[in-house]
Amino acid sequence: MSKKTFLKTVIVSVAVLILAACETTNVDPIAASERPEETTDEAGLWLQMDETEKLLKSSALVENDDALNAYVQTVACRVVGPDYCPDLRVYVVKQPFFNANMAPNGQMQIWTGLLLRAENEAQLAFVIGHEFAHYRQRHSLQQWREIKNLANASLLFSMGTAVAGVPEAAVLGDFSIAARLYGFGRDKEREADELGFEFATQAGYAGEEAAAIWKYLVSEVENSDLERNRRTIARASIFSTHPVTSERIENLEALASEEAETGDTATSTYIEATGPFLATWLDADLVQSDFGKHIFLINHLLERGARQGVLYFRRGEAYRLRREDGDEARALEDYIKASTFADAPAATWREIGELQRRSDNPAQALEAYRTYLEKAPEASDKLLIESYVEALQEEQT
Amino acid sequence: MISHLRFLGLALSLIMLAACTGIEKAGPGVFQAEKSYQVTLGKAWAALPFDARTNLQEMTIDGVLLNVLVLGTDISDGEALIYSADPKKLVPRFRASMTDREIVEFLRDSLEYNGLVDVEISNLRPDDFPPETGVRFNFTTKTQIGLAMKGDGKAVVLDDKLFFLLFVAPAEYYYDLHAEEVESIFDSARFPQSASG
Repeated sequence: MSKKTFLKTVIVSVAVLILAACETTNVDPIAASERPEETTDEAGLWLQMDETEKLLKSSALVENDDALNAYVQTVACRVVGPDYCPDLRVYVVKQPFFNANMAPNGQMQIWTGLLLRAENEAQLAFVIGHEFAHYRQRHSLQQWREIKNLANASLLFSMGTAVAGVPEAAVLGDFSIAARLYGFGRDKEREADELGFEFATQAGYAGEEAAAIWKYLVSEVENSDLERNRRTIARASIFSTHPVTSERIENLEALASEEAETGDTATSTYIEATGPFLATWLDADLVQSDFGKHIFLINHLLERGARQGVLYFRRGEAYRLRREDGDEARALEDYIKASTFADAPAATWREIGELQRRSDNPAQALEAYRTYLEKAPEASDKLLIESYVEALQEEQT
Repeated sequence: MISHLRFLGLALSLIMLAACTGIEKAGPGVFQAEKSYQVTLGKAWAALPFDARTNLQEMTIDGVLLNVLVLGTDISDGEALIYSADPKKLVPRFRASMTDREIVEFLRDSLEYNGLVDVEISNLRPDDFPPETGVRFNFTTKTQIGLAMKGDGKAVVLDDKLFFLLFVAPAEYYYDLHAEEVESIFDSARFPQSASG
């Protein structure tokens, strides 16, 4: 037997063994209240997720507000229906980024950055539907098996191409594994989009909102202060785990155009449920220091016509911290505008006082500081502001 | 979770840094912060190496996860307390024009950016930081795994540079354990030229 024939024999034998070890990735959707059998690889995935869920429950990152949690869980149950509802445990996680995820054991995370950016309940419903689709279609299990099989296949591919004298191709084999390790992969994301759309519209939500949230996100990122962020929008590569955004928007718009009736956006219900957290979530978003994105977001929220006092105050805060030419005047204008709305935070008058003091307008500064102290008699910075008032009074006498 | 990894990474980095350059004993007595103010330590502290990238020095008695005193010195306009190899990284940055309240806000934002949760500031008040008047405050926060923490801060801007002290420890037992010592250290902070004043 020649050396080449011997190598071929070995490769074929190993290939047979590797292919025999491959597991099927063709799995049925999970049924309501179904749990995997203990001896399966799926049970192992669930066990790991059960452990992470224990950590999550005690984490300070989980929002504990009963009303907000009840609201999000109610929306989730409306989307997934009464049969699957008991299988889902939704956690609102205090993170300022647009994100949601769902583990194979039924725990779903909705990040506050998503709740901040969704314009209405229909947009939240679509995201929940998308994540639920990953769960129902057992995408985690499929992904796990694909990675294992891919690792085996890549070994085979590397051996074969190396023998054929194409070492560069062997490197490409490993490269494709790396691409698969990120996220669910574009096909599963596309399927989750389609099913998520179906779940949300069957629950009575407006189909066009599915594409609307993505369109908004594209616009927001286009306004980022960081060029690298702006470039991510157009980027498409082997590593794109989600469908390219433009393709995703087109698909979702096409689905919406097929809908015979327009559903509910539930905008007012959504604003009522999330409104009390608006100031806190915007504050957390501003910590990320992307002023371009942040101001774009506030302008978008202002278009809804609700919580104007909070929103003008928060935009003033962004200008105050950004400190570009003209920002001080912009901030003062926004604070003054905020002060005309009943929901303006007490801090609005403190900031007016600060800017008037800087602009050498002691009388206006004093008046604003006094209003602040009246509106927030227990303020954490009361002693500091009182010291400013004292100094201004001394200056005036 | 990424933030957990960041926290672990930070802890490991600290240990590795300590292993490379050594932890030094500081106090009891006067301790001179790098190119900056001085404080009087009533007890012996373990001083970790000064981090020239962020201008921060950490000191601890029982270990950095149980109590940590951070001395921040000579922070210039546009600089951040969070180190990144990417100078364009979007992080909270100090501005020389910040008011006392904005400085406290900057410190709070930096703590939150670095992974602490629900940082609540209380009792902001003017405080002597000879030769200037600075600002003093208390705060509560939580680690991401849910451990309640308490802390104190003091800051001043001198010649457009920020100088500050931060102390943080678990609210249960460890914060109170060295509360008197920390209070005394904060009161003792002054710039050398005003040491007698």
